Amino acid sequence: MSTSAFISGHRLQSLALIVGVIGTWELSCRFFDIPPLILPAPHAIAARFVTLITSATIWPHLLATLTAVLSGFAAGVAAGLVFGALISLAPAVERLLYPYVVGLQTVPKIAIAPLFIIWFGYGVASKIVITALVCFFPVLVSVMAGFHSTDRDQLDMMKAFGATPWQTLLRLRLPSALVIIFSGLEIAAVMAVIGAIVGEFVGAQQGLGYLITALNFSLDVPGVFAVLIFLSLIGIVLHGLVRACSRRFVFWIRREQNPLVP
Amino acid sequence: MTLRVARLSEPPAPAPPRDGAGKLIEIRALEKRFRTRSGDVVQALSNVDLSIAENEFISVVGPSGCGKTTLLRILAGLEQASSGAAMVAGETISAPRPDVGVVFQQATLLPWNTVLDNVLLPVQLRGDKSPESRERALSLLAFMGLGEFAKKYPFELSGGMQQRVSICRALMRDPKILLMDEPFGALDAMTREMLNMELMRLWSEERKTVVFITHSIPEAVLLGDRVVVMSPRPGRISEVLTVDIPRPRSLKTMALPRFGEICDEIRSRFGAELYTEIAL
Repeated sequence: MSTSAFISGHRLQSLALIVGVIGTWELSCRFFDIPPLILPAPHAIAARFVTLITSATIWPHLLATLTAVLSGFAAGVAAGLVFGALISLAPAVERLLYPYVVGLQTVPKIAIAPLFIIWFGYGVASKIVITALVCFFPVLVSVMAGFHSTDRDQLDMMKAFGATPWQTLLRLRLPSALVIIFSGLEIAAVMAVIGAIVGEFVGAQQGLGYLITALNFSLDVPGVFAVLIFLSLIGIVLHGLVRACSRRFVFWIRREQNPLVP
Repeated sequence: MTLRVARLSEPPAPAPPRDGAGKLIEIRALEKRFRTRSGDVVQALSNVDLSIAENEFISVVGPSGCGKTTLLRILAGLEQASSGAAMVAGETISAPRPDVGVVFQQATLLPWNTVLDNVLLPVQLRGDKSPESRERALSLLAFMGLGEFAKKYPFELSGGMQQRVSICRALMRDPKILLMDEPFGALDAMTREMLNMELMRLWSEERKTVVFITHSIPEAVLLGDRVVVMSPRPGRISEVLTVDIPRPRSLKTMALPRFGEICDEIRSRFGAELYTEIAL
């Protein structure tokens, strides 16, 4: 009872904050007479948001971006999990390949995006590849860190009770690693949208990234802001899904509610 | 309370002692050296000799760095001796044995498993999912007063309860030997006394051979048939005292004059060592 009241109190504060920010924004636009080309007022953005939906212009673009984000996220996460597990289980793979993986990651994705457009075309395939590449690294690092985070006392315990290396892997190392792997997934979920948009900026005929460039070109700034809301919603929902999975699968972690420094 | 814990129907391994004259645990001229990061060799155990009879309760007491945990890890099969031998029932310990149960300083329960699954872990690792094992796990939990917590998760239990679960887990395979490495060291004094009493009850009912490591002198004297006193640098046995206080013992035992005498004897041992060190 008191906990739920506490949480709803926090929700109310968050809501009050956003209402305050938007209200100030709206009033400043009207009071200082800011041209909508530079900073459109919230009401104009909201109106544009609605017309994008009612005129049905948004749907094909939203669908294209969602496809890129979800497929790319899934592919990147799968690759990160498999490759991370391989590296953790076979030290030879780590010695041989990991330096190059890191080297590849230091190349900015935006810089290589044009190459992917050439290789995989203007369609959704190139966007999926770029998104997957963006999602891959945080998951890979989290898997490696996760497998190395196993508690030494627990390892001793498993050994003392006669566990084989495979039993230790499946019953101890893997569940221990999940905590850190889910942190990697959360980062990947947020980065996935960036990957898709980068691909669409560089070359596309569809997608929210393409729509932003098109609207920007016709100086429809409220439209650009409206699309940004869609983009942010995709990221929030995907991140929320990962968070929900994390709570379901690593239920034994009780997140510290108190501030770090009083 | 004379609740008998259900045993697994398992033929007792007949291991006639080839040498050591009926002693269950035999430690001879045991040495353990570690190489540190900087390349120095540290002598963790030096020339340790000890025989432990079946059903004996041995307390090992000593300051940190005296090698008592190393000794237990060798008995558990988690470390190999550098030279000398540690034997159980005449066989040199080369790996963890199924007839030895270990209780660690931390409860080391798997947080994603229920209390019952944690207790069942040692038998599940052998692929045993029989209802008899489940029955035994539940009766062990009931014996330790945790009957209604079988379906809970470790994080829902207090530290003392978690350590009781870990004792149940160590007893799951009905081991002959129970190794305990400062099992109550992380608990508050009152929980600790309570668990000391429970451990004595368990020992009198189940009749295990126990090697109990502690840094508390009263705890060592209260529980042990004999107290092995160890000294650091190099880790060695400096004395083995027989506790001639009759059983059953209780917390009131600690008020007996004889109890205080034995504790003082052990303390003077440490005091003397310390004094020599300062004099040097």
